[in-house]
Amino acid sequence: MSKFEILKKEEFVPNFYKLDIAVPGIAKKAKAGQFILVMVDKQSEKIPLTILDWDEEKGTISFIVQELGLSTSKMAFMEEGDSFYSIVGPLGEPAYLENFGTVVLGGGCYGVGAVFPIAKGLKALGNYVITIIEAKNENLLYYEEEYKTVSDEVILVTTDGSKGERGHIYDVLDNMIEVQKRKIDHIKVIGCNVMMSKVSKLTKEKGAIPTYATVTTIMVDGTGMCGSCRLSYDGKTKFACVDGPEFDAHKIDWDELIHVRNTSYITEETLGLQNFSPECRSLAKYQERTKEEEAS
Amino acid sequence: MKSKERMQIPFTDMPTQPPQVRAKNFREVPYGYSEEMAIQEANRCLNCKKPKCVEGCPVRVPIPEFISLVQEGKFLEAAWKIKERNVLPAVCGRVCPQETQCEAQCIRGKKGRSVGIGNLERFVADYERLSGHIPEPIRVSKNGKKVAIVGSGPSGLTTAGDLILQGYEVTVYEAFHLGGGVLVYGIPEFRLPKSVVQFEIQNLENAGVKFVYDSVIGRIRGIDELFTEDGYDAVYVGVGAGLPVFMNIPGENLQGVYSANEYLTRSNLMKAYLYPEYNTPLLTGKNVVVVGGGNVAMDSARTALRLDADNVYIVYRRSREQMPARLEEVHHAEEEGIQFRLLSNPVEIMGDEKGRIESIRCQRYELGEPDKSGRARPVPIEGDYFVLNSDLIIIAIGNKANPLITMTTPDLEVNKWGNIVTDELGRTSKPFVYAGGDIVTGAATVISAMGAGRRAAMAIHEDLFPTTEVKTEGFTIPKETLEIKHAAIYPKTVYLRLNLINSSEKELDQVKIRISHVHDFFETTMFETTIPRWSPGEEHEFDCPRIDKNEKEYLITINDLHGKIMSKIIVAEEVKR
Ligand SMILES: Cc1cc2nc3c(=O)[nH]c(=O)nc-3n(C[C@H](O)[C@H](O)[C@H](O)COP(=O)(O)OP(=O)(O)OC[C@H]3O[C@@H](n4cnc5c(N)ncnc54)[C@H](O)[C@@H]3O)c2cc1C
Ligand code: SF4
Repeated sequence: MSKFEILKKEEFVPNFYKLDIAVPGIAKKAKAGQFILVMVDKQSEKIPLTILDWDEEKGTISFIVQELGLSTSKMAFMEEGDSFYSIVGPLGEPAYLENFGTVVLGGGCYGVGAVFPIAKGLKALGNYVITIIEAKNENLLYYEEEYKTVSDEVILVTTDGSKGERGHIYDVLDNMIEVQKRKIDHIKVIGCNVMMSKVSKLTKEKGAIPTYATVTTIMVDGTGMCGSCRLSYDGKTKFACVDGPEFDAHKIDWDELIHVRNTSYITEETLGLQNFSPECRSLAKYQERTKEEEAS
Repeated sequence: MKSKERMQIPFTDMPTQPPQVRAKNFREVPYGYSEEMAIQEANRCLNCKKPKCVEGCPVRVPIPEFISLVQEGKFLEAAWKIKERNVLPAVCGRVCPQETQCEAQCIRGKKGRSVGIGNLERFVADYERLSGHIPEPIRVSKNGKKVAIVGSGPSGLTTAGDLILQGYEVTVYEAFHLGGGVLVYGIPEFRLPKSVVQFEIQNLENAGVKFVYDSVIGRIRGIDELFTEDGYDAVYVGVGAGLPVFMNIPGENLQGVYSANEYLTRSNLMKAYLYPEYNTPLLTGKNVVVVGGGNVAMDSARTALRLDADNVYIVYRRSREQMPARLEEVHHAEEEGIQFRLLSNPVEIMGDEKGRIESIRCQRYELGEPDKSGRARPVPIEGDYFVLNSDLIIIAIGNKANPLITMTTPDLEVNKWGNIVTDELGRTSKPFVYAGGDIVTGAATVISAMGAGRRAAMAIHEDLFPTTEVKTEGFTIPKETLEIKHAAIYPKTVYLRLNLINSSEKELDQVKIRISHVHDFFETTMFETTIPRWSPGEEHEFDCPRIDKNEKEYLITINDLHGKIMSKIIVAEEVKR
């Protein structure tokens, strides 16, 4: 197996791919909540991806990508046997795990997969784990069976109500707190910043239940060198890549994070995607094309 | 040629791309000297008996010697001469602040322009590279010890280069996918072509240095694991000062505010200037404001200009003379049309309802009383503000120590700024862990980072292959080769008497004795001499004047053809008559 090689690729729901990659060094060190920075090829940008699972013996790690921007589209075209240009990790501080008692985990969009290692870790520490996963509709829900192995309860929510409950993670949480009056000791959420900010607002109002959020920011180096991932936290500037990515949700300046820091590249990214023509259905073709262009 | 004739030759300017043209491309600004120009410039050197320039160079490049070789047209030999002391001359010739180092000391600078030492260094290094006459790397037999270098900046590369020549197995771990540190992620192509850096790294690889990219030490492996799991005998930490400082003013997290590190990394390392061929996006601006007055600020401003800005402003708190940037860079920036707003400091960044910046408000300053460093202190003028409309702001006010390594290695002592604490030769508080470069000194220069790398290589060798030592008058010396019969620091001189008691009864060739003082990590040579042949039993004495009477620490370094025999620090108080 060569460096950063894709050993297995699965598209388990449309546009969501799970990749198993050979990186023994990272497989040995990874902890729940950490991420990697990936470059598909020499021309790619670096994008952060949460480590979903790892197997120290086989020397592999897995992550899930959703085909969204240019880099993730390139990944979608990669096949088993192809290799990434660069993978750096494990980065970030591991998630804060201990025996809290009853823990609610909320995963939306990419977080549907990303909370998995956290659930696994918390379960192993003896917590009562309730996992809520949210998607637009039933076609985008995945990992249900896997979650059952590491959670005491799994709750599914879809925006259109096509599977599980209808609504959002915070509706389920609100119901658990207000109606069912359940005692919750700790909450962790991973997903888009809007979802996490809403959960944060809710739990702050409902008696400040300890809530931790894994933020998604733009990153370049992942070692604290560029400050691209900075956010305002408790009145101070923090770097998601070295201080996080998990933070106490109640101390994050969500407005700034959502409206200011994360929308910087919308136009540029769209441009990048246009440039990446959909005819090249495989990475090999894509690389061939770049080679040709380089030669000419 | 007589000195008088030499004095008459005018300074040879290096031809450059015209400002209007280069402001729109990323090609290197100066074209370099032709052979004729190099010889002409070299002929301005008076070949001083006591060359001051060498004292100004932190790694003691044998300047008059290499320049003499240029005078004779022996360019390759000149390059090799420099490489005895400086492994990255093509880089240093381009980026050293010569005006405060070697060229500042040049005697010709007293009246008119000093010899263009940097230009000549660059010329011979380029000549060597382009000629293809690269000497085969010296294959030395392995000494059985393994050293890990963390960080592939100039400091780590120098340590790696020195150690591989002494037979160590050397592996460099680098967080990025390319080597070179600031040389590749910070300094732009138009100032230091990346092919130059790549070439130097290739040379190290050819010599046997292993590079492991994509590896963040502290995450994928801790310092301790480098010893326990990977079996390294020593670790050198040269991770640079990569933690951008922000101003902590309102609006700093708005869209369109970059740290210079991020801006330059996106542009240089990730090649955003070739977007969309390369995929990393970079916001461009029509009215760009860069805050700061160092090289980093100049590089950011000139990059922004090349990425189609109409107006680029540099806002700096102090005056032009106080700018820490290299003179040449300030000059090039001015020529290209960068607008300087000196004695000004931002107080607030204003944005629109979408969170994008619109303008920046600055306060005017004036120069007041000198501060501790002797520089006139800038003081804000009450109520005097101005506003610059801006769609891109780059903060280049400095870098602090990146805490990743020290956070994950608690037994590594740091000072209150987070810089690793070391002794003169780079030894940290942790046994067999050494550090140097920006992580120790705070953001400094390429050449000082290289100097630190070299001293650490000495320390590593000394510690891994200790010589049997005896105590003589307060300091220790190796027993087998050279014995210090007497050493003393007198009010006016430093005295040294050495005897060769080499047990193998072999005579030593070309023994170089250097006495230097060490101050703030800089080593300044006071005295250097070469004994062509030294037979066993023979004694030599050296008496060298003390330049600065307050200097209490002296470093004695003795080399023969085969490398260093010893280097020892002697301290004035400890040595009695
Ligand atoms: C834009 C800019 C322009 C400059 N211009 C000049 C100039 O003209 N002249 C001059 O003399 N100086 C200049 N400097 C300063 C000079 O570049 C630095 O002083 C010098 O590079 C420091 O060298 P270093 O080896 O200590 O660190 P660096 O060059 O910073 O290299 C450190 C390396 O370590 C890597 N690293 C960090 N953490 C880890 C980790 N945990 N594990 C593995 N690797 C890690 C980094 O990725 C990096 O590659 C400039 C600096 C900048 C930013
Ligand atoms: S290395 Fe730098 S300081 Fe030393 S001689 Fe060369 S240019 Fe001057």
